[in-house]
Amino acid sequence: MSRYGYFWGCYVQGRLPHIEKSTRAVMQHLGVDCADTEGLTCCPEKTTVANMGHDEWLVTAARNLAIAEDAGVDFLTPCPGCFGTLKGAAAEVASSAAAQGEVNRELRRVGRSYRGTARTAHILEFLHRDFGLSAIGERVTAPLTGMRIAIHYGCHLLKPSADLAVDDPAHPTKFDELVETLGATSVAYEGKLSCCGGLLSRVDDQDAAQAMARRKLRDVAAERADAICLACPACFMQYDTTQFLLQRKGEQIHVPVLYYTELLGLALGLAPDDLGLSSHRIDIQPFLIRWQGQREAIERVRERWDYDLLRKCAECGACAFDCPVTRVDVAFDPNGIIRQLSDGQVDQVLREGEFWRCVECCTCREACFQRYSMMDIFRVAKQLAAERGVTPAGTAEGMAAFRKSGRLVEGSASQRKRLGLPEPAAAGGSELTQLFEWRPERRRP
Amino acid sequence: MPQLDLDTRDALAGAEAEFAPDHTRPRADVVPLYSPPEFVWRNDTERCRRCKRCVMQCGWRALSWQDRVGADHNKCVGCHRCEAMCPEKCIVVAPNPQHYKPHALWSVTHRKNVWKQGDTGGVLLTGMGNDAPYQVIFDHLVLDACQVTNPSIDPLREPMELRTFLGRKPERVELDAGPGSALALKTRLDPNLEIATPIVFAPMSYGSISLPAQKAIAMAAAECGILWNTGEGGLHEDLRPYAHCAVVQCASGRFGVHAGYFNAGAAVEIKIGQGAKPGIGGHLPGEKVSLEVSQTRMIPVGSDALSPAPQHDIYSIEDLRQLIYAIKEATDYAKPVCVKIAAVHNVAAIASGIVRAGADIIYLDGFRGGTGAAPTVIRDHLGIPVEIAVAVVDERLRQEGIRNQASLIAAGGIRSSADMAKAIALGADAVAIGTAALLALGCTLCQKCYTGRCSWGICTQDPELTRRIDPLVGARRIANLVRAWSAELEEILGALGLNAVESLRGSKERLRGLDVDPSTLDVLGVKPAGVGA
Repeated sequence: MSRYGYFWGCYVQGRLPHIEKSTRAVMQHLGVDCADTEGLTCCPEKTTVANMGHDEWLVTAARNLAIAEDAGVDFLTPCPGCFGTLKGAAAEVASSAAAQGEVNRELRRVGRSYRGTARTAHILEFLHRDFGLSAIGERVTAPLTGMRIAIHYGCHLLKPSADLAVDDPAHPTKFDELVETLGATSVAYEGKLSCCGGLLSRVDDQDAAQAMARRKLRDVAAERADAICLACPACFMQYDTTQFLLQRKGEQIHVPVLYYTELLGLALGLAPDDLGLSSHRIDIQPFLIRWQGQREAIERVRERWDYDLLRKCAECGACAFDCPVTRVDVAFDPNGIIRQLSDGQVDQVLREGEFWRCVECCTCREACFQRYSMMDIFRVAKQLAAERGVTPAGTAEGMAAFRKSGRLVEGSASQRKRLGLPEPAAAGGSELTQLFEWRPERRRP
Repeated sequence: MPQLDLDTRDALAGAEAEFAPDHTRPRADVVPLYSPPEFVWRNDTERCRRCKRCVMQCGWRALSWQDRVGADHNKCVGCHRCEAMCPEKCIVVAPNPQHYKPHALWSVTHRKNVWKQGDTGGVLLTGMGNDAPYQVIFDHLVLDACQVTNPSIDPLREPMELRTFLGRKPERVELDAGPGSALALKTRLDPNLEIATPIVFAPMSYGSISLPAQKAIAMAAAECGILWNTGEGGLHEDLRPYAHCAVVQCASGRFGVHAGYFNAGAAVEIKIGQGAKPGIGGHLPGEKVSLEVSQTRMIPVGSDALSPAPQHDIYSIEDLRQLIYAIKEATDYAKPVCVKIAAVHNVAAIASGIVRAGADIIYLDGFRGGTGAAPTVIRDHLGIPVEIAVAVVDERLRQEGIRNQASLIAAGGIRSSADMAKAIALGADAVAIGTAALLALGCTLCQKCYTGRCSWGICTQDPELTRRIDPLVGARRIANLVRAWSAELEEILGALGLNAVESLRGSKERLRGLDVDPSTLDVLGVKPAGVGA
């Protein structure tokens, strides 16, 4: 791996230092060699500086890159704006001899030269391409299992794709993969790839900016997402600050906003305070509380069920149509019980006892191509209920008889006599008693 | 930057000389070119009952659910899992009818490969065996049959011997006349393995295939009285009950190798080469090295299992001899040692050296042999057909008078009992089947094994996918295949007037060539059809 130098950019350091805090914390935790560099300026930002003059924009960018070359580092940046500028400017200079000459003639006046060797990577690009998903996955100690995350790609991480080449701009997947490797679910929602509209507030059109933010936040809320996750300071301000303004106006909306390194830091086991989460305008506590609850509940599910399969089963539900009990009992919702379990509501499911209505006809097992079925899931629930001594009367009687004699029912002697059948051979109940000693707290290994 | 006039350019001369990008650093950041999907996924929405089974079943995540099933056609590999699992049978995965201008030199495959390499700058990978349209020699050989002058045999009414013994056979046997008329064997026999039919399973490691898939193969081997092969993945605890019919492999990475492993198996195989990728090593990506794989291979979790191209202690026939005898020492000379090589140009001389180095069995893997992952260019262009390799090795060993010192196993593209009979007639003692066994398990030959996302649960370590294989059901299917081929082989032997498969071995006189060029027939030692004895 190369040596890296941080390129924080103006907004992260000036307005959103908590993003800097979480990025430093995470990079240090992952053991990435990344240092600060003296003498950097604004990248420069395209919509402001480039409008002052393209040459100023290009020379400023080349000067920043020249500093990286002198320090012998590649830039890592948390800001897609800086990323787009530095990568775009490098691409422009690389493909034009005129630009190479012009830029270097200017830089000579301050004793610098730009050779075209420094590279720039956005933090996400670096994590996905260079650090690697599996290396991240291995280091996750507090998985975000069961948390629904709405990913906001933003515009300038992906576009213009000819310069940036981070991911397919129309069907990006890498940010999703980075989030899912932490155990979370990436929620599909309307307008996932749309712009945050942050620039509108810089051109003094607050109303339009708020309208764009509101639209995305409502789409995300409609999908019951626990948070929106992004990788851009401008988008962060739009969804955090602008959401706060919307709330003050009386908008009923609360979507916690997380920069990716904050989400990653949590999954790596870092404390919220180490990540600067208290600096958000939108309170992050509801997210943390739900996550804690999820983790405990899922831990309980994992004790007895294969949680991943349970979730798959809940999402699928194809066999629910085939369950014969649902034909006669409209209140029986087998897939609903599975969904409750996959949400971690073990106690509630046991209390309601609905699963006892599964008649174990195997229809769902036959229909399941995962060789995992509602029936199998309910059997585990039944065992758990039996361990706690909460079973329907009929089942309890059968269990008692089996423990007593090793048989479920005793035959009637007179009926057998009428049919001319001999006395049944002796049962081996005593050996069973010896084998099991009928400890109610017996658990599977 | 504006275009500059010539004066300005002169003024700037030298400034651009400072620009010196480092061209040695690889760049992988390219936006992929449009490349049309290979398959088109269609769903008859009239009949679809929106059960989402297809979405759940796709290991490549080509399908997603919005208000209906949506397909990312580019991700579809044509494995047909979704079709097979659709309760309404309303899915069709069809080749994309999109038409490129035909070109006799630049096939669409060549074009797509160039686009892909422009995107990635990488070695193209593939799975399974060579699919290029080389002539399949098996399809140009025909078998003899008895008519009039010698009687054929009816296998349903008369005994038919398929039993085969793999291992070194003595030059001659000496007998001691004991007291009375009892005879005792004086010659000390080398260890031989008895198999009930001349079929063994090809090496497929746990890691390259899933544990349930390997278990199915091992159980089928035990049931049929034949051998399975661990490949280079060690012996998983769950497979110990089937170790008595396992060939345990020692390959260049030495994964899972220890004295107990050698002694657990029925035979030990030294893997020098593989038909699908002659001359190169193996690579099991770290992503597939789960806890269980790591314990079985004896490597850290998540580390890449890299098998070097050569065995680093074998640089000559003499070195090979050292390893063969090291293994024989470790196993007390109680097990045959097999050496597996890829069929290459000089295969006859190499095989002769291997026999002289002390190998009891030679496993010849032809260039159609399968793999879990190989560079496409290697798979499709290196090595020679197994038909030729077996014929020339058998001939060479006979000429040198050492054919009895080793058994030959032919592998790499055995598709049917006919291929098996022809391979035996060309000189093999037995054949090995890999792809055929996987097909019996449900594989559809989509050739995407190297992705580790096999939707059929065969070539993957993802527990959600591997649970799709029930080892018992799989074993039954594979055992059925072996039974079927054995029955067909008996039919063939009967038609040839033979009652034991060993009578067919190396009997090139019972083969004739059709539409094969004379020089190939010459090499095979087979006459053209129409030429009598």
